[in-house]
Amino acid sequence: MFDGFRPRRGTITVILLGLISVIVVFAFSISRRLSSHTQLLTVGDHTQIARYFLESYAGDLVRQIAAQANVDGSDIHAVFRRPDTGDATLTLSDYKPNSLLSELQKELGIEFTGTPKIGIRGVKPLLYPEVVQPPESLHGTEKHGYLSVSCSIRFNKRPYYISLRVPFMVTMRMTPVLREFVLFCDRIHLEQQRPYGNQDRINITFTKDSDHPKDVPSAYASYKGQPWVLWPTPGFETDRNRCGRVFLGADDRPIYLNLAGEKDFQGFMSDLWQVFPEWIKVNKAGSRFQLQPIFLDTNGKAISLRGIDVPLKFRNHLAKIGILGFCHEITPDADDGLFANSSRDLRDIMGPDPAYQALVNENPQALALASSLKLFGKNYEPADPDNPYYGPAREVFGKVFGRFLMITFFEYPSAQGGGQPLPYNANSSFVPPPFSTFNNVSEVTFEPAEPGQRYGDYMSRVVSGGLDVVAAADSYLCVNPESKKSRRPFGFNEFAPADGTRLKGRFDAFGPAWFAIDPKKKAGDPLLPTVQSRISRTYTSQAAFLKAAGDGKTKFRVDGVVYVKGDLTLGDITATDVRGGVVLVEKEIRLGNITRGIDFNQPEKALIPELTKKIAELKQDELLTFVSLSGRPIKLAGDKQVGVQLISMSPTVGVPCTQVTWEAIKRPVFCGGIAVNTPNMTERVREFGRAGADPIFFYVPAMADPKPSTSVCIRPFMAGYRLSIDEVKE
Amino acid sequence: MNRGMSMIEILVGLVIFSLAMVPLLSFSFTTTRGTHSVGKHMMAGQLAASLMDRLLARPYDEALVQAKELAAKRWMDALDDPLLVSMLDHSALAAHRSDIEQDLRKSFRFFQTNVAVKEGSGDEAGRMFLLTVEVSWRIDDGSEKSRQSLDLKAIKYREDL
Repeated sequence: MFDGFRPRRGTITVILLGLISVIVVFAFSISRRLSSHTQLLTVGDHTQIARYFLESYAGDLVRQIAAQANVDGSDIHAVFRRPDTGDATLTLSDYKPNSLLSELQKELGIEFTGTPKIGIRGVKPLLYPEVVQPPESLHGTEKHGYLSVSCSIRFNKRPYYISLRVPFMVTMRMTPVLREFVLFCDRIHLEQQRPYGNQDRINITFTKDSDHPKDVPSAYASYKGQPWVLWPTPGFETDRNRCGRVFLGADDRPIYLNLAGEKDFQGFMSDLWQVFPEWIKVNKAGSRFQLQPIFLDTNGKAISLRGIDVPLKFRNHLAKIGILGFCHEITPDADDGLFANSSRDLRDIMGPDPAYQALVNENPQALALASSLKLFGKNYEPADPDNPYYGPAREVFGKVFGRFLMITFFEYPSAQGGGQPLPYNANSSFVPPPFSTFNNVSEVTFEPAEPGQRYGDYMSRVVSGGLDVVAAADSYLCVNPESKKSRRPFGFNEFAPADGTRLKGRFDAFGPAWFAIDPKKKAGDPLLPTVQSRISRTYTSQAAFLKAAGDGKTKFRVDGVVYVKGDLTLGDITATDVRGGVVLVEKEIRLGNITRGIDFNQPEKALIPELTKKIAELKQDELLTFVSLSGRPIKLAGDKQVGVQLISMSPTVGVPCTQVTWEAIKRPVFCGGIAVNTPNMTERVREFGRAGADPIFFYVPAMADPKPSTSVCIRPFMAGYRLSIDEVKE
Repeated sequence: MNRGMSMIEILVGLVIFSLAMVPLLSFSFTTTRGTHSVGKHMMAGQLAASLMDRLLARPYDEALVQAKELAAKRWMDALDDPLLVSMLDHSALAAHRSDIEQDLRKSFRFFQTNVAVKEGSGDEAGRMFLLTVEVSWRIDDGSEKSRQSLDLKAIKYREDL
């Protein structure tokens, strides 16, 4: 029995020891588990704290880069504008965290470790529509890519790193192609369905005494108004790039502008300087125009006109060629006109010219109506005819022709009445019958000076008439100072702005291609070859836009291409701190004055020099562009806009419509450019007529800078986010 | 009879077993409480982070307005957060809305949030603000004294500057 009990004592001891071991192991594992929980929580909490701190740190770095990216002169400004798409490194050598970040750093006991690394990566050029051919030198000017930002901290002895990508884009601050134009109307042909009568809504400005008087004779009451005068910017008249171009389209539709006439050779509003003596093909001697008697009327009165004498084949035989512009003085009903008290009138001289017939038959007042678009400002022709004047070097694109009347008299010894008119003949090789001398003593024949010349080269006619295409199409006058060399209209092939951009297609293809917005694609989609890919920010309302851009009193900053949903109504922008860009607006735009610190309440004598000095000094990165994407009218509540381009274009415009309008017009001053489908000249002429002073339109030379100004937009979101935590380092 | 266990032996065994079980049960209870507490702490962290992320994701002005509104309310029950509740309006959750609401009520009972805003001054005015999101909760549901809290801080920058 004793032997049997011993083993049982041993069993209890073993059981006890076993139980104690289990309890110890269990306690140990639970304790470990609890301590791991605590550790896990601590690491989790610290990671969250470090993550938000690192994000704030990276955000501060990006913010400081963004702040310098559009400040001219900084290293960061230059890095973004390198003319290539390679990688680059940005250095924030004097980086100082903002005060909130510093406070937070101290509060949390965080230490910045190492220098933050910031690089420009993944850069690709933005695309252009097919119609635009940017030059090689601009490759990489507009681009998109991302900023690669890496930074690190130490928090509770543990290193934390963050690396992230922030997308950016570099875009031009103005619209390519269009910025070269002071006026761009790609469907103005809709306002001249026929260049005569009621369908001609361009040649509608009453002209008299070399002026466009505000008060017109009652017969012309419906033509009351002022033309749209595009002045050349003083100091830049001879620079074809900085003078501001004009396009009147469509590309394949002719536009006829009636040149305004004059009373005594010269006149402030006369357009006849646009007819160069060289344009007259038979003027082989290169004579200059002078005010000279062209013919004697049947009363023996000498009628003097701007003209030249062209010697003919036989000695003392002359073709006396005079030119007439459209003005009240050439109408038959003008009491003090050219043909007043004369038995000759234009109808006899022009003969059966179909253009002349159409002009006077369809609208009896037409001869007094000049173009409502004056593309070269007023006439600054010198009085001395030996100094030929070709006007400002403003290039005009499109099939734009200057229309005027040419009258030719054949003068020979003993001519009856001082010479015989050479009227229009549809057959340009027409041989007129012999002319009688005084008292019918003998007969003389009209013989051109040279064998290759024809009657049609001399005859009286409406030049650029529009109905004489077969007879005289080769002698239309292109409204373009360069036409004295080329004698042909300028199309897209001749478009050669200083920045090297060229067009591969028609001008009227540019608007629809560039401003196409695909609602299915997002703004800023870099794969789109349109303005949509350039949109850096979208504002849901004008209030949001104004909050970002500024109140216009102290500053107004657009910086890039932005899109504003709905309407946009801006008050006066008087600030000089203006950073330019393109504001695309979904619906209507109404603008106040944009004065840039100029005091417009001063006499014109003092104002004009200040204004011209200001616009000569304006830089492209200060210029504002407002675009109505719907083609709805841009309403100008103020009538002073300096350094502004207005664009309102829609592919659906099929009839003349107002796309820019002055609501309260008193003393209008506009410096910049306007691009519309149709200016609706009938309305504009009336509108300008209501102004108290002549409207002033200047181009801003900086719009044509050879190196376009760009803006950097760093987009407010992060991609490629990576947070890492290292082992604790003592 | 000699081969079996006496009553005393059985009683001794039971006492030993009971003595062994007391610390085991105590450990087990501590573990369960600890796990519960860890879970709540993690939920608090997630709640703070989600509120912070939600505010940071908004455009600057909206974020500032919303943060100020929340700051004005001081400590607020987590379930009173209108944005959290509005998420339940999502059509994808419609079918199980009542279950989810019940779950939320159960999980986030006694959770409170507090938001604080400190705007930049001087040159930094209007360009940034410091956002603090604090979440507190009860470790022991029955005791207000067991309340703990954690906070997260981040700086929100204006996007267009």
